[in-house]
Amino acid sequence: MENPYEQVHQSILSRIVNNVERLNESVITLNQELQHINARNKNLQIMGQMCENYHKSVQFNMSATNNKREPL
Amino acid sequence: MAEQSLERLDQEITLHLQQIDSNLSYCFNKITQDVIPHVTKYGTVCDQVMDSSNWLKIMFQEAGNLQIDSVAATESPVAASKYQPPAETTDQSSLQTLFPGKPRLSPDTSSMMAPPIILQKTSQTPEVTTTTTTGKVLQLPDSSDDENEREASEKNRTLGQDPEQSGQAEQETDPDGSTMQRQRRKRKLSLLLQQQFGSSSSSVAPSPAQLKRPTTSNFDSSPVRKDASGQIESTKHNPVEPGTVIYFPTRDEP
Repeated sequence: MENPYEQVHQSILSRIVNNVERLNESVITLNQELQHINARNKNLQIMGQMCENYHKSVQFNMSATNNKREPL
Repeated sequence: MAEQSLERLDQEITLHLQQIDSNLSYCFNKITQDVIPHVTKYGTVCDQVMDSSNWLKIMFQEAGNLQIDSVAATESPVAASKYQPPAETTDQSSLQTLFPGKPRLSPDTSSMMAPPIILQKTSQTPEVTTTTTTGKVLQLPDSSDDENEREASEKNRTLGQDPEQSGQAEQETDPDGSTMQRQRRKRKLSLLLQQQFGSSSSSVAPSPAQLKRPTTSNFDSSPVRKDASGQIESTKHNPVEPGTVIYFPTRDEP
């Protein structure tokens, strides 16, 4: 005897496969967007590191040469 | 008894499948309608931040005589191979430890951490030329030479000479001119690249997802769901208690 639910299951499964495909596409696009943003933000990160290191080296030099003073 | 339990199991399977389906479509809608637009908005904001702090980048580039070109490195690998070699020669070399991707200078140039005033004095001594991993010759930036070169080029321009001749004259007057020219060209190219990216980013085109989605987001691919009048989360809002018999119209039925 043929199971009447089999067809239903198959249709739902095909729909699920469809949905997964669409979801995969959207996730891929999202990943691309994030990659672009990351690439663009890398410069910002590098500059932040530069500022931080400049600050550190300035602090070190000031304290090494005894020129460091309290903030006014 | 067995048939009843079988039917019940089947129904539960269909229910669960439907739930999976609705969850997936919910995910899809959430990502396409909520997440991606916000992410693109965030990208535009990041671009604005980058644009407004562009002067800082230029300042660092000029101060350290190096190229900050991670954008070019990712978006145009061919160009990146040209622009990647970092030409840091001044006190920025101490900062290079934080950037493992960029090759460090050889220890011979550790004296370059000294302030630029001393650098001008040391540059009179036999030149310390170092080659990067890409084979480019690193050169100390000599401000006086630079000015001389600029003056010479300006003079040549005013005299109406050929650019080639002026370049030759520069090379004759300044042996460092070739590398300086190269660096300057690199800087110009990177600036052009930046402008391109900045202009393209300021007018951010909608992503293909956005262009595509509105037409496809609402279609109901399932014959099962057609009676749900386009509601995608029908199983979520109308949960059916287990045990009730559901009639599923299929394609074959009229």
